[in-house]
Amino acid sequence: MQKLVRIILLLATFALIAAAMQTVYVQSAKAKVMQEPKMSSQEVLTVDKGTALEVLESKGGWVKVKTANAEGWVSRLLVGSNPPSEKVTVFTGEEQDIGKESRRRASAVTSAAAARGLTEDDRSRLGFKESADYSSLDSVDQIKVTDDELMRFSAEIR
Amino acid sequence: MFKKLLIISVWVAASFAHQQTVNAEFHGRVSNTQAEATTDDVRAEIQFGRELAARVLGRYKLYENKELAKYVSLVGASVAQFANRPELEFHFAVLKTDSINAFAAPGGYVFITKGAIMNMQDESELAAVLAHEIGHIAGKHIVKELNIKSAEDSPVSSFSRFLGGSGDPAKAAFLSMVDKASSILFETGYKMEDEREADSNAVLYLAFSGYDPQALSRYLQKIKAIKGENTSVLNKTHPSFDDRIGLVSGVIDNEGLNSGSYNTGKERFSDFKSKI
Repeated sequence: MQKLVRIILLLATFALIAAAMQTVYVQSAKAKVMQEPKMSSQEVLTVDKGTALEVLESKGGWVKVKTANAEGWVSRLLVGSNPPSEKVTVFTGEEQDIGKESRRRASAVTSAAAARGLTEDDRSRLGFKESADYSSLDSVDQIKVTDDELMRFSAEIR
Repeated sequence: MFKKLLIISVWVAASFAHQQTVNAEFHGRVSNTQAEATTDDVRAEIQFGRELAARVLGRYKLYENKELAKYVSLVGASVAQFANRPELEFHFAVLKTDSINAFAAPGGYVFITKGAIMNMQDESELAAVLAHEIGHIAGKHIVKELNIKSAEDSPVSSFSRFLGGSGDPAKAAFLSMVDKASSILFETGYKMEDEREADSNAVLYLAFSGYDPQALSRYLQKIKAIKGENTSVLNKTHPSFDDRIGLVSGVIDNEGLNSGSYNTGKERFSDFKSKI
């Protein structure tokens, strides 16, 4: 009986330890971990998107975290409770491939129309008069920034 | 042995209680953008945002210059990668008007007027204005403001219900929501606390992306000095310039961002501005 109680206590201890650990995940491409909860403090290290960080403490807009190698502070703006999700699109069929140097295929324009959700007939029938320019919206959607382009452009800023 | 285990358990329980306090504080402080949103909720936000974006383009017209559009998109994307919305693809566009303004629609659509760009002196000022609008999207300000009640008591999940409906009542309800969002953009403005959040986060986005964090303050001071007819829309829907400049300065002081050298991207910006 005593042995059973000890085993249960041991298992409960491990369960509590597991539950106590709060993990956050880096949402941005990179995130700097700072020595103090301040942008101007010394940088401890830079972590990549998706990196899991154990939360030790919270203070204002900052979270104290622990990695495999170090401890430090990261801005709340850069982390979230879940791993970063993939890009969500409303274009069905001809999906946008964001990460590569791909051109938007002509048939995707049809998909864009389907993604509008409402037609001009809908708007007119329901008496909504404010004009909407879907053609220009399609033009806006066609301007893409690839990961490589972003990396090169951002490198010139830093 | 048993006593040791008991002591350890008490210690762990105390640590657990402390950690739960830390967790509660973290979740409480993190904006409810961190609240669980399904993929369908995000799709619905994008659908809604696209309809609102089409309204913006219906009102102001798109400035058709692909080279400029690509450049603005690159500046915007450089900032948006720090917006904590990895699930969104952000889109940026220039509007064909000399008025000085910028708009954000849910789902990642950001617009800036030609008039605003013509009054900027460098790329960091462009990044600053885009960062402010990105802040509205990151904070889901329009999504929260509409506050549509549903069985799930979630404004975002309500969009899915409306879009899922095929009948006129569902579509009418959807368009009515878009009307309210239009009113926020063009007439009443966001809540002051949302404007403040967008301004303070914009400063941090600038710093994260390597741009001059003072750029927003510089731009606001410049526009304040103009105070002409073309700025009337901007003044109507935002806190006063002095309030905004004060808030931004506070963030810069708190984070120690008032010293150090930052990139303004003046040369690259001048090159593109000359083509407008």
